[in-house]
Amino acid sequence: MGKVATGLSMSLDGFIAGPNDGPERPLGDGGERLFSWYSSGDTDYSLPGTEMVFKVSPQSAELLRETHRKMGAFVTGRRTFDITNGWGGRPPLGVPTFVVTHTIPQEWVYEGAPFTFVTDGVESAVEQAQAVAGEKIVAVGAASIAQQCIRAGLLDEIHIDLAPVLLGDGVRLFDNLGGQVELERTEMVKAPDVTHMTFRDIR
Amino acid sequence: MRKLVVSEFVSLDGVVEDPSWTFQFSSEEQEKFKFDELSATDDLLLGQVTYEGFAAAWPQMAEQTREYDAMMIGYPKHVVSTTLQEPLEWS
Repeated sequence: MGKVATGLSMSLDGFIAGPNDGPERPLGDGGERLFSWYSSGDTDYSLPGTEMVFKVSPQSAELLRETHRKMGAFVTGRRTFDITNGWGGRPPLGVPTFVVTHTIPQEWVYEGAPFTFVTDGVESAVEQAQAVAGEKIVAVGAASIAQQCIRAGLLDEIHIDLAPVLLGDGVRLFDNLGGQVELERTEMVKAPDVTHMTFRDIR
Repeated sequence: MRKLVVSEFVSLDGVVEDPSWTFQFSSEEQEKFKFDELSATDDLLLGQVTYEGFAAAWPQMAEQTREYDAMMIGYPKHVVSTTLQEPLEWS
């Protein structure tokens, strides 16, 4: 069965979005800074399943290629789904996406979009995603879903793209964990404008 | 003018409180880093709580940490406090 992993850009003070995030401003006040490493390099990286082309460092491009190649499904929460307006019907990498929600949106207009709405909790969503992903990785996010997976002991890996900035306020990734979690750092890539780190849950 | 450097033991979720949890992660590489860092330090700027923590902990560890202890004692220390009175016990 494939691993469950979360991957997010985070500030040194632990935020994955600035304050006041919402549909009008998906990354919150100042949150774009967390993603400036996607456009500050000299190497093209085309995001699979989209027309988006990033400009990253060669190290980051290699890491993104490797990470995205292994990704088989995505589990996300209703808040992220709403803030991104369902990614306009095209979720990251175009992989099957499971949205944890209490109520299935009725106004959904994107025919054929690869979404499954799951109303019986994050464990069920991860189970369904793993069934689809096979040996590939199930990515989970953003903050709330990652926290729910950590609390439920479902998360195998945490991948952080550490941006060299102190945002001061915003959406914290590591809240509501329910206690101490032992990790092992399995990878670290120092790119010029971001530090990529991978941790394994060794509970 | 000299640089002001902040150096902290911090967990991935941002906790710095009670650094005794960091001992299990010590290594030769980490010790060398801290030693080099302390060697390059001229003065310490501390708050009262950290000063009192250091004053309680360092003399206890003097045996195991000889070189460090000597460095820690040697630094001029600047403690920010509205209540502490000189002379200070550990300096």
